[in-house]
Amino acid sequence: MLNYIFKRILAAIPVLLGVTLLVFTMLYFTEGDPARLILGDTAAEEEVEALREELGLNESFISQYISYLGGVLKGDLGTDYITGRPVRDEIMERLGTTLKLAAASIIFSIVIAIPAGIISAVRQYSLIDIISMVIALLGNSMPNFWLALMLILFFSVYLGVLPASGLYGLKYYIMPVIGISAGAVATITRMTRSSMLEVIRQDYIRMARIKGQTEFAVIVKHALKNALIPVITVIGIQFTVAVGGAVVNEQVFAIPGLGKFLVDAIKARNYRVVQGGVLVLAIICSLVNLFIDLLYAFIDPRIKNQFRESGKLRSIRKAREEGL
Amino acid sequence: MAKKKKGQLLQIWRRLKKNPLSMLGMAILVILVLTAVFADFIAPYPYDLQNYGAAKQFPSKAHPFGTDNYGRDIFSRVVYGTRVSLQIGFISLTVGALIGTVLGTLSGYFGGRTDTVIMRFTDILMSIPKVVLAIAVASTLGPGLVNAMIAVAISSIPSFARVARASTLTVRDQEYIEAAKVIGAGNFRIIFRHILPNILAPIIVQATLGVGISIILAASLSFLGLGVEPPTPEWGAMLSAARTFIRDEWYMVLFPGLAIMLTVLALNLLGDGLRDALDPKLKA
Repeated sequence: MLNYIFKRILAAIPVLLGVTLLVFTMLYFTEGDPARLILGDTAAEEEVEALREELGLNESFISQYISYLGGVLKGDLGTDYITGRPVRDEIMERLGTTLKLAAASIIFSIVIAIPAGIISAVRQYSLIDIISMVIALLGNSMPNFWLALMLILFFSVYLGVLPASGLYGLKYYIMPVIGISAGAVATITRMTRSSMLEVIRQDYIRMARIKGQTEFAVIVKHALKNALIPVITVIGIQFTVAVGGAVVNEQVFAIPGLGKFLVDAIKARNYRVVQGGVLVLAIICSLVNLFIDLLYAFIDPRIKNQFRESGKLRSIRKAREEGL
Repeated sequence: MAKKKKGQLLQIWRRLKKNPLSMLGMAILVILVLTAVFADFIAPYPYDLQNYGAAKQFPSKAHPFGTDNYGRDIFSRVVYGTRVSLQIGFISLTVGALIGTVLGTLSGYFGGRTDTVIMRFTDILMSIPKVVLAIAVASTLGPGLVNAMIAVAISSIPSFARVARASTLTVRDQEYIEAAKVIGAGNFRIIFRHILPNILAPIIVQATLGVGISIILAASLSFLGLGVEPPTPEWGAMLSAARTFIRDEWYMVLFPGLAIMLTVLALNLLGDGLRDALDPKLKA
């Protein structure tokens, strides 16, 4: 088991390094001339050249990347050309908002989708199954920002009960969270349903029924435990999707999070901020997925057994070797 | 061989025909494609014809979806938008699918170091949320139709690479591949003649569902102002321009979004049906 955890963490390191290289490369080729960007069009060429030298922009791609990576490892994401503040501080001020939105959306998706999926599977082809499948299908088919706009139209413009912009309290979360989580609700509902359908047809479920257990006990104690295993991996992927959803929905609801900051930075050609923002979001998504993978190993008996077995085989081999 | 293939296709078509929802999806898709092709004949007005005298008009007989703030007919713009969105969806997905499938097949077939390098590369792409990756690519390349397509194509590479790799692993050790090796077929021939045709089913399913995702992704980019630029009638860009008028001119926001939803819904219905038809074992 420890072996698995160690291997999985080790495998995450090249990916994270790769993300830094990818982000650096993309922005390296866009950036144009940051020195010129900082000093403006009117600055003299000598001044620009001096700044270029100072910022290390005349060095090779590799040495620039290495010094960038060194900075990243120390938590230094460079300086915002426009405000003159460290990019890290600017990102940290806004990251919480985006993460809160994404986390709230994932929790909301789980709370809605897993019960909906279970009921749909247990009562297959019933009215409730058909309704939740239609909702899931629609949820997967509409862009989340359009759903958000439709929610604004109905709840803010028509009914006037929910605020259409900002994020100042619980009430403000309702529409963005529904908007962001539509896709996740749809995917998790469908996944839970199909996984549950597969499990409740197994022999051991029939056995539990024959033993006279109540339907509730059969579903919750026996079926759910196994049916949820594949659902958990989907939740990890959906977190990444929710972060993307938050980035777009922050624009719709004028929420001052990292997503809005990122998009505004692109429009202002403030590439250090773009670089830092993309990197931070990618690292967080990688870490969440790493955590989910580790969690998966803990709850999936097949992975656990695989390692137990290999341990057993090892001891058999050892015993044999000693015997010889 | 050809006869056998024809028989298989017929069987798949028969199974697909039995699924009314997929047939509905296919019918909607055919209508949308026809709309895109014959947009010049269907749209009552040119998509960029401004008429300030008739700006922000409520839906009527003359303007079934109303007019926007420049007095342009929204129905005509939605009709022309079909052309733009389908084009972005299909072209970007085809490019992403081709690259992803080739990478995944190579990864699965050769294994070892090739596999590690390619899979780590897809892990890197997958660790960045699709929208954020597309935003990053679009910011590197700048806004515009072609750049949006490139951004969307790159974002769709990893899912195809994964599917193709997994399928290649299941076929790689089959006897007919061994046989091909024994008679001296080269790797190139084995991959393109024997492996690729046999892993097409899951890739087609992924592609059908992927076009929908690509259309939404491209619309998101345009909505953020990083994709297709006005006055091109792209649905996401139309929504972006319309959202300031949501309070009084709701129809400006409603119809382009409905168009996206209908298109993606049709693709999802067809994709689900295809998955069941191509692999009856998977049917829940």
